Formats: sequence, structure tokens, C-alpha cells
Amino acid sequence: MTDSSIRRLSKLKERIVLRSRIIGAVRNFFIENSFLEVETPLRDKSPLPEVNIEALCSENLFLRTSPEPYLKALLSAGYEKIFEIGPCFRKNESGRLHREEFTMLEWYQAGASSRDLIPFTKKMLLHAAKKTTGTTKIQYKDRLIDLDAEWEIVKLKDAFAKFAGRSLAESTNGNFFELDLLEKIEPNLPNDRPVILSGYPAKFRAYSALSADDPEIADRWELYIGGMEIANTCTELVEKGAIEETLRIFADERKSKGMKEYPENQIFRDAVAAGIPKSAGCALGLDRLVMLLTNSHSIEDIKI
Amino acid sequence: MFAVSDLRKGLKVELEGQPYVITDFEFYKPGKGAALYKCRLKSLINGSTMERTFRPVDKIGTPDLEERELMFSYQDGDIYVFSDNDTYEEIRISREKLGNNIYFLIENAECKVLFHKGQPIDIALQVFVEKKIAYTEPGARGDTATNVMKSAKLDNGYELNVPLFINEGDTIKIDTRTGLYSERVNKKA
Repeated sequence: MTDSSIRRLSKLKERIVLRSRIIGAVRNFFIENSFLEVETPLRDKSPLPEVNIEALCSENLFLRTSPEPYLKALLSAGYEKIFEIGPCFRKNESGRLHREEFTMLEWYQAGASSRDLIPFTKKMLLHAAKKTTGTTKIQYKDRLIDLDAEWEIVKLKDAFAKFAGRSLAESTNGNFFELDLLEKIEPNLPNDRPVILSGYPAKFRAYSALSADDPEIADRWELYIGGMEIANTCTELVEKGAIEETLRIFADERKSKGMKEYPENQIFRDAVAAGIPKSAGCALGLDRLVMLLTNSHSIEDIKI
Repeated sequence: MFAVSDLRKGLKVELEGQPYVITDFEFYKPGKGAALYKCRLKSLINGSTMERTFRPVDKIGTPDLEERELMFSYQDGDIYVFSDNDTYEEIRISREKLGNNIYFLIENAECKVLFHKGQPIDIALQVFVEKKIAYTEPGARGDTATNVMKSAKLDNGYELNVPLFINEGDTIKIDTRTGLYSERVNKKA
């Protein structure tokens, strides 16, 4: 009698092989484009605080929720094009698209803005799809998605006006933003091609810069493919004063929500003190990319 | 009150004064926002289902539910009378609320009754009951196929499908959860 976990692993094998090839293709693409692969610590004395992410503890340390603080420190230290592939951990996040431990691909490029990363991200995905499935037209569930079609750029403000029945500002102020996004916007996004959703409210900015034209809007976009949120890209917030204010606001918000209080993240503080160069960064859920390219319904189908 | 982080499959909750059980549950977290908990809910009163997505700011009620072990005593017209062996209390439940369960009630047999705010809303009988076939057409001789069914009636009027080899007077096992035929019981004369 085979143990059920061994049976599961044996069933997964075909997809785990594909997973390895997809991640290999992604890694090669970055290296061929002169990005330096780095490994940063999985554990730290403090995570970078975010309003809707809670870190898991490991002894007297925290498991990283993303490699962002160390990668930004590397930017400050003069590393201009860097990427990391590795596990990240977020407490109480589990479901079809989530696991507390998941695999992140995160990269930064000095001198770039969030918009500059769109063509690069597209080339990277086309490369990964071609190398592993032989085509850039992929079947995901009931849709045929042409990764090479022109990526549609959708502004949240317009999408809310059209589909949500209330404006983006009304939805955000009334605490309906996430609900409207999930139930009214996402189902109405084009599903035959990748979509860039942009113009997120400043409330959901994390550590991105604010838009030069509108301080109510963050300079970041999310990539949607097959109805799944795949990647988040920001023009990074780099001004010292603005970062310090953001850290204060996030700490206060976390406190008011009863979330854990973190000590100051030292590596991030050092990066800010040394000066983070103007840059853009992207965090991509590699598990979801693998789901997409292997036509898998759940993260459990493609992850050991 | 439940917080959204308490939500999970199988949890019983109260919405707009009605009790529901969560039958399906999915976690979402779009756009660096707060978590969302998309639930499929089934009414414990009439079995109807609906979908509802909860936000962290939502509070969800705890239903006033109680499950009691009762014994079926007797039928009084359209009312079925149960008794509580601990308190000797008599509980009267209408035929309408019991649905098809009335055909499977056995005197003095124990069952579990779910109460919402003191009102009986659901009953779970023992999983299998044995009943005698009062009427069915004879099957063809030698036909032992189990996948071909014919109609049959119990002496209390309940109609169900049985395999061709079942004859009048046979005793069969019925699954009370579905009301379907389960197997023939070989009774020694």
C-alpha cells in the first residue's frame, strides 16, 4: 500500500518536470539579458511592513514575505540588474491560488520605470512559453490565450466606471475595492490575451512611487493572464522622506488593524540611507506562471 | 460572531437570521488588498444555495443551533411525535418538515434532530432502514442484472426503483439520506 503523499507526488511528476523546464527557461532568459542572479536571506529580524501581509515566525526571526528589502539594498550598493527566484512566506494565505510557502520571481532594474518593464516582461513570458510548450498560444481552461497578441492596458478608473457600478474612489473609500475587483472587474477583463491592469489607488501602493500626474494613484501595474493575477510591477519609491512617511503610515495602519508590530527592517533602512537609485521592479508568482503554462487548476497541482 | 478568518468548509453561520452551512470556500487576495473569502452556502432550512464573498470588515453571525437525540414515538395525523429520553419532553414535528423521512421512521428508533432557535429544521435518521416491498411487477426469470431497475412500492406508499430481481415480499435496505435502494436483505424464514 503506497502512502497517499507518495501517490500524490507520483501523480504530479509530469507537471513537476514541466515546472523545472519553465523555471529553467525563465532563469536563462534573465541571464542572457545580463541580469545577475542573487540569493538573499530567507530569514530576517524583521519583514518589510505591508498593510495586508503578515509574516510567519521562525524561531526569533521572520521568514521573508518577499526579497524586496535585500534586493533594494543591492540596488543601493550598485547592482543594476538583479533577479532572485526562491520561496517566500505569507501567513494565513492558502487556497487555489495561494500557499503560505510559494515561489517568487522578483527582479529590479536601475534607471527603469514600471512602463519600461512591460516589453521585457512580455519577451520573458514568450521565451518561457516557447521553450516549454513550443508555442505562444496557450490553452488555459476554456480559453485560448495568445501571449504574443498586443497586451491590453486597462486603467482601473475606466474599468470601475464601466463594470463596478461605482467609481474607483467610491469603491476604495467604502472598503469595496477588493470585492469589486474580484467580482466585477476580473471577470470582465479580456481573456484571449494578457492584460495590464494599471492605476491602482495610492492606498494599495506598497512601496511603489505615486503617479507623477495624480498623487491618488500608484505608479504600478499588475499582469493578468487567464483571469489570474500573475505579477506586480512598480516604479519604486526612492525618495528618503517619502519612504519614511510610508513606513510610518503602514506601521500605524497595521497597529490599528491589530497586526503584529515589527522592529525596523535594518537592511531596508540602510538601503534608504545610502540612496535607492531610480528603478523599477517586478514580483511574479512563479507557481501561477507554471499553472498557466501547464493548464493547472490549483497551485497544489504543480507544487511539491 | 465569527471573524472572516474563522470561515472554513463545514462551518455553520447565520446570515439575515437564517442558518447556513459553508459547502465551498475559496481564498482570494487581489491587487495587494485585503483578503476575500468566497463562500458557497447552503440553507439549513430549505437546502437552497447561494454564493457570498466576505471581506475582513464583515462580521458573521453564529447560529443558535442545537442537535438533540430523539426517539420517534407515534404519528398523530399529519404530526409526528418524538420524545426526548432524558427530559421526557414530547416534540411534535409536521409532516411537511420531515419530507420523505416519514416513510423511514421506525417506532422507538433514535434519530438526530437539528433545532434552530428552538424550532426543528432537519432530521437525520439511521443511515439504513429495512423495508418490505408491498408491490412490484415480477421481473423476468433468471434476470439478475442490477443496473436495470423497475418501480416498487412500500406498504406505506413510498415509491422507489429496485433491480429486476426484487419480488413482492422481499425485504430491502434503503439509504435514508438519499431515499434510494441499497441492497436486498436475505431474511431467513
